[in-house]
Amino acid sequence: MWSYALKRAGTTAVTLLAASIIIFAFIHIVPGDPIYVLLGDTATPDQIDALRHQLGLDQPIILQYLTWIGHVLEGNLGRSIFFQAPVLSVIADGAETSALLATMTMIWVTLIGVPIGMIAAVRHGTWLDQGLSGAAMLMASIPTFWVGLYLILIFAAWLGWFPSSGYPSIFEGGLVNLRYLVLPSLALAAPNAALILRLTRASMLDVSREDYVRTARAKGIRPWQVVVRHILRNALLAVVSAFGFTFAALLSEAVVTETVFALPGIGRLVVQSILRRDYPVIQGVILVIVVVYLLINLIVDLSYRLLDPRVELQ
Amino acid sequence: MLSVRDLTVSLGPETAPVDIVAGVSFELGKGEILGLVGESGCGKSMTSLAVMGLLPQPGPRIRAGRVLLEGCDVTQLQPWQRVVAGHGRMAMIFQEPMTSLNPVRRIGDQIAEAVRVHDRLSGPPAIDRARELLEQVRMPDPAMQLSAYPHQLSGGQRQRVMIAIALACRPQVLIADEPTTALDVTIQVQVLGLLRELCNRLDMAMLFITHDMGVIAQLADRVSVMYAGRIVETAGVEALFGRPRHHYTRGLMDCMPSRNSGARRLPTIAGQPPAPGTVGAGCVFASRCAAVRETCRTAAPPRAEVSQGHDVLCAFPLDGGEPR
Repeated sequence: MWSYALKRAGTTAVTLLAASIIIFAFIHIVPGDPIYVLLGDTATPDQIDALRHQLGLDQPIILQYLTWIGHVLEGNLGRSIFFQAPVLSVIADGAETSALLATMTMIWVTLIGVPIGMIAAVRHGTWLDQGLSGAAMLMASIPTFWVGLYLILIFAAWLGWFPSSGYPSIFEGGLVNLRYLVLPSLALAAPNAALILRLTRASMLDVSREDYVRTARAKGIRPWQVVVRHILRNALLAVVSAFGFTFAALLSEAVVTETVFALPGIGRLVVQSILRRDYPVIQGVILVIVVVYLLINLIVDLSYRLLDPRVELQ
Repeated sequence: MLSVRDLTVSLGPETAPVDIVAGVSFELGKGEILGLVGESGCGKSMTSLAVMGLLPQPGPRIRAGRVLLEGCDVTQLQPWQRVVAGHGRMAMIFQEPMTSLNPVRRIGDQIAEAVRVHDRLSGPPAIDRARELLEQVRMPDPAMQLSAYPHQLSGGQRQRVMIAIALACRPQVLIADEPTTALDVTIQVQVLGLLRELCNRLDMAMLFITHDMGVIAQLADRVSVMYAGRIVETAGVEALFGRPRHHYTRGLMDCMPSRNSGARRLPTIAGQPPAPGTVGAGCVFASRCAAVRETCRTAAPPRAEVSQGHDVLCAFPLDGGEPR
């Protein structure tokens, strides 16, 4: 187990290195110059050269990369050109919102997707199954921002149950502030829960045709025990691996949701930083997202071992 | 012990059912081994699943007939419903030991699950009983194997575990659906020996399903031959092998290689069994029978008792003359 974790950590490091090169290269290939964004149209060539030199943007790109990666290894992601503050603290400001939003979303996805998928599978072929599967299909095909707008309309504007936008930190206003994240997390969860629902359903139907499920029935245990002890656990093997992908999808979908709900999260930070050509922030955020994504997938792989004894971690 | 009467299993809509098992009847006495033999697709597995209450759903259903276990009607009851009704003492083992055990749960746990239902034990006593059952099926090092996972065992060991699970039901009737087909010949012999011994020791009756006439000859007390969803002949094992009376049974015997058949080409029965749903009014074997007559094609053959305990579904059975 531990040697496996170490090996995985090694490959993760290589992946990160490759990702860092790609991130750096892509951003510098994209047209646009942060100097003009910062100084505006009226800047003189002298001012431009001075600032370019100050930011190190006049150096060869290889050297810029090496300087950046050297600082990254020291835990220093550089300074934001726009905020004039360390990138790490800029990201940390958005991280709370994004982490809580992602966690709440995954909780919804699990609580909605798995049990309803289970019900649809157990009652498969009935009107209940068709209704649930149809609703899931609808949810998966409506864009997140549209769901978000409708949630705002119904639960914020008409019913007034939840706030429609913004997010004050829970460290300032207490856990009550989580209510700001209810609607955005539901909007984000909708398409993903629908996918998990369909996957759970399909996977359970597959497993229920297995020989060992027939063996379980032959023992004389009750149908719900057959479902919980024999079908569900095997079906969840497929679902768990989908959680990793779902999380990746969340990171990009969050960009839209954070914009709709005006949340100060990392997704919105990326979009704004791209518009501002704030290279250090873009690089930093994307690097952090890659790290988180790799970590999540590492956890998913390790948890596989707990769920499936056939998997040898080597 | 187990009495199956006119069991009919059908597919398709109520209005136009297609019978894949048609009017199957047999009796299984205490401690008796009845072999149910027939080629693939003849309905033997469907018969066993129907008796056990394990027909896949949605799919085939019991359209008519009755299954009586110790005189009680258990037709249409799934195993758990039988247990609730107090008729839990019928168990089944399957053809594929490789896929018949849950891959993510420990052996001991899977046996104990059945123990908990049938002996109403829980906790350590259930595990003790599981170990005892593994000893009964001659599992090497049973205490160790309790914590093993199925993928760590060989095919023969897995089939022993399956038998242990079945024994946990304290069965008076064990249904064995081709339990040795997937095993190596040497392992096959061991498992057959074990089943025979368990039947004797526990006074357990067994319905043994196979397409292997050789296995049947060694193991069974009586044999029913199945063809196209019907039992065409039932007899004691010696009578059946010595003097088969149905043309199909005779054909099957002729197809068996014997030690002195040498390099001679084995005979085959020409043609194919009829597809379910295409069976007309006449005898199901008419299209392939060498001794077919005109009435065979138009009238259903009668079931005749040609001698004590020897039934045949044929209008013109082979004569019982000289033993083969």
